Amino acid sequence: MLNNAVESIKSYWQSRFFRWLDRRNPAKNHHRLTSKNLYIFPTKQGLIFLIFVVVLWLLGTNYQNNLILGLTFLLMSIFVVCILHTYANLAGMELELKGASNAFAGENAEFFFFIKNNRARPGDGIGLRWQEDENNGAKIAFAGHATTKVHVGLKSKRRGVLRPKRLLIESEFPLGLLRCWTWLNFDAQALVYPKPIEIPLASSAVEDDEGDGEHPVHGGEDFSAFRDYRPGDPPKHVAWKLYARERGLFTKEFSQNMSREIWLDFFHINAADTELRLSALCFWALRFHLEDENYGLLVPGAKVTPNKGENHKAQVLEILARFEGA
Amino acid sequence: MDVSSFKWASKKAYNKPNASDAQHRWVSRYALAWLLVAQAFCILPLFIYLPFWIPVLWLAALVWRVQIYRGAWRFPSNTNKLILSALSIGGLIWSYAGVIGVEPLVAFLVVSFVLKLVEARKRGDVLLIIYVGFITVSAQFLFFQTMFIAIYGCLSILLLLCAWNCTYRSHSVPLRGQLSASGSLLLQSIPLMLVLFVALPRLGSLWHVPIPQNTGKTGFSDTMSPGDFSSLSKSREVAFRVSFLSDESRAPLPSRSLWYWRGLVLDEFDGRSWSLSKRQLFGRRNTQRGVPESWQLEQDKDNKLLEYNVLMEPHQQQWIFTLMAPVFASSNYGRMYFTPNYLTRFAKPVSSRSNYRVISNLDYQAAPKEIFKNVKAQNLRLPQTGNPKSLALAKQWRDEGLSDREVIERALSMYRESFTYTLQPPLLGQDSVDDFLFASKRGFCEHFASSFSVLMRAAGIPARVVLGYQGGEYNPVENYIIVRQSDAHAWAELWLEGSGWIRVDPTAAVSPLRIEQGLEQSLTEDEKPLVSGLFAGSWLYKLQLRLDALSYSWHTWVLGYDADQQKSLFKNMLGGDQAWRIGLFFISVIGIFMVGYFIRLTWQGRRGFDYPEQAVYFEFLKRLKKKGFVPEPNETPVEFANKVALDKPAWAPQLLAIARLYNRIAFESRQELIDELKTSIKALKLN
Repeated sequence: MLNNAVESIKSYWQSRFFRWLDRRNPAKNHHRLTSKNLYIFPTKQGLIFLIFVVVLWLLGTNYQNNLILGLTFLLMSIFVVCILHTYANLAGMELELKGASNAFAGENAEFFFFIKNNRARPGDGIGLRWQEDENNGAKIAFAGHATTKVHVGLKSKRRGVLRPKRLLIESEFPLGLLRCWTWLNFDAQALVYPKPIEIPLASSAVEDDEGDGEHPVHGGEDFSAFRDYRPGDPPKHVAWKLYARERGLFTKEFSQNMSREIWLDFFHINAADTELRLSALCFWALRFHLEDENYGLLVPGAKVTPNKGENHKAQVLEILARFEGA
Repeated sequence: MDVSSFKWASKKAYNKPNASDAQHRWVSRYALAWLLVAQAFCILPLFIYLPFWIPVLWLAALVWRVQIYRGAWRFPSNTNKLILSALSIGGLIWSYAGVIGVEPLVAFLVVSFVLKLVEARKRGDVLLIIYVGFITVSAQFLFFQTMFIAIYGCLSILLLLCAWNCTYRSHSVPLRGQLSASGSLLLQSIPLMLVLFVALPRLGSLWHVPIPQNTGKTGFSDTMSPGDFSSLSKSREVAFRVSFLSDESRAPLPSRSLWYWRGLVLDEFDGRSWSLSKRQLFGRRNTQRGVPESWQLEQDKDNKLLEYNVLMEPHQQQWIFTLMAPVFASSNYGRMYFTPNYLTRFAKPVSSRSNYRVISNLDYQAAPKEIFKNVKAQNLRLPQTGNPKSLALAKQWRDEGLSDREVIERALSMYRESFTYTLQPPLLGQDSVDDFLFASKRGFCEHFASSFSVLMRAAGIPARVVLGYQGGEYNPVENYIIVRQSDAHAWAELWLEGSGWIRVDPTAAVSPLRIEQGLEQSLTEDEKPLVSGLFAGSWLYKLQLRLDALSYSWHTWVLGYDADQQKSLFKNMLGGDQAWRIGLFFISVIGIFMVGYFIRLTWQGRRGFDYPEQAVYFEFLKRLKKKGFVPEPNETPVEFANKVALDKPAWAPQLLAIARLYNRIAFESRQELIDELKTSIKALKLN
């Protein structure tokens, strides 16, 4: 009961704080950490330290020992100087969002940042994480006048477009007495593909031009012709014998590969749920991509003609990720 | 993370993705190493005061922890921990059976400090150990307070900070980097610490605390037997230091032969040794602050008074040392009162270095008209038996019809003619005075004072022995006097009608050098090594004087800085010690620090160049500008170099090389090439 009340008060203030914060720091892809967006407050450890200093002060006062009092004042001063050091560890740092890697639902999407340290002072013990994912994040350190590339993971929950809320940058360096932090809004997004799930394809999903292939076949076997080698051709298809005879670099083409066309059809998946269907389509798209097959996609509202290669795969997966409804 | 994999020079990113915080909560190798070194530093000075087995325990714990780190041994199991703690506590009880005080507490602290390190593996453990480390440093300060221990303490703190700092690093950096980070933290804290030290109000003890018992009783005790002083005279230990406050309204510093620091008056003689009479031990104490009426001190009205400050080493006794006759005494250490024998005492033993201020009246007459009967009787009392020859001698003088003054003169001339002052007097029998006066005739100050007083008493002159110090060493560096244990001295006081109590020093009759120049000068060459002093004039002696002056300033300004000094400092500096003045001072000093820091920050920001190569390249552009070549706003370095090369083909290769070098540094992050850029720009001759 009480816990609930505390939680609700906490979340109320947090939401007010974030509203205020978002007004101050609108979403950008480039942020510079300054006194305008950095916050600093003692940690629990810092409060314990202050109590410790008071106890030491009592000791020094009771013994009328000026050296112990001096030690007390030194520790107090270290605390104060730590405010500046903790702040300086983050201040002046520049972050630039460089992009994101897409992910399958349930996996981590990675967001890439360039962190530029314009100052001669090195930084250490700096943590970065997205607001909604406490388990992922990066710990970084950098030298003076250096640019660092950082990727911050974010565990994706659902298929779709992942727009992370705010990036938390925090540091307790050098002594953990104070925590300096900031929440930054980025105009970031990553695609989250459906989670691949193996559900057998209905037989009609695979359409073979020759009409005899009920099942996908591993690799083609019928050699059809040589063509000029293009970078990226699989090494096992290179005509090494011709190359050894110094006739040039050629690639062997196989007719079966050319002739098979597979359609991944949304309605041919034997599943009740749209998400499950998409997951299955995703699984098969990946499988056929690995097997270097030509495959096309048919979903309500979109159609991709059979093809292969990385770009094709990306196109297919993006359609699956962005699919909005039958 | 291995050190070698850390590429500081290449300024690469050391970025460890998905490293959860939990991983960083484990103690890093560096933190552990720092902690071991810091611990050794913190507890080393305490070993002197701890039982012998604690250093052994520490070594064992050290080996254990290193073996755990190497993976050879395991962390202690819960049973082992229990056994170890039980054994240690048993050891503490065994070593400190019945002792209540600071030592057992410090020993307990050190034992837990040592044992905790064995099981330290998480950040929380390390922080706990570091806090215990700070308490250990304060324990150092409880036992030692020299300037050197303060510097040593700072070093211990630096090491603790290194360990602390390392636990919050996410990536390892070279040793130098770790040390400089903690060092700058420490150095930057020191100015603020000084402000706090000067400005923060000082309170007295809030409650009673046990005090370290380590400081044994030094100096003399409250009895005097033959032979007591010769051992004391070999000690170069400082008893107290005196600085005189001199201006026109005060009396000038008297000559050295008048520096008789009175500490105790012994008025009971048992035939061999002198002690305090029952009247002194159990008599009603005068608790009023002012000078007692019974002193009957007579003085001129225009008489100048001598004012001085004494910084006293703890001697665990209540008595203190003053020049006759003290008329005012005060101290922050505790309440002081005057005794009937013209002495000043603390209400409690001096167990820590303490300071007191005294005003003495050097031109006085003490009870010139009469003294109380019981006092007179006490100062004439001799044991019924013993020392018959001495008594007979005194009686013989009286029978000759000599006056008081003549008796004194006769005794002194006897000493002068046939006695020797020596550090190594022969042993005396039960009738020590007879043995000394008629057999050995060789003695130290206590022999002379004792025998002289006995003779006087036998002759009917009230006499007593005074213990204290005579002389001292003037230190010109800080203008004060050092009085050492070797200056301990005993002399006599006689009461004569019309003159009151007068000081008579029979030692001065035998060895005037002892009084005028000190013990060392009064000894023969073969006895000099016994007091092991340094000869005046040698550079070592001068160095010693300088060191002592430094330590004196340390005592007065750092260790002795208290509410009173604070008050007078604020009066001098701020014109008053009201709270608002101190507050204003405090805020303005902090403000100056803050403004300084702010200016540094903004100045750094306005320097204009984000990267060092830009500054180097900008210098290069400035040189070209003098020759009339200015880059267009959207011209890249290579384009600009080509444009210039059209005009000055001779420069072309170098210009292009510079532009490419710049590009590599700026866009490929090859910061290590910056020196090459600098040298090639320097090498370019524009003519």
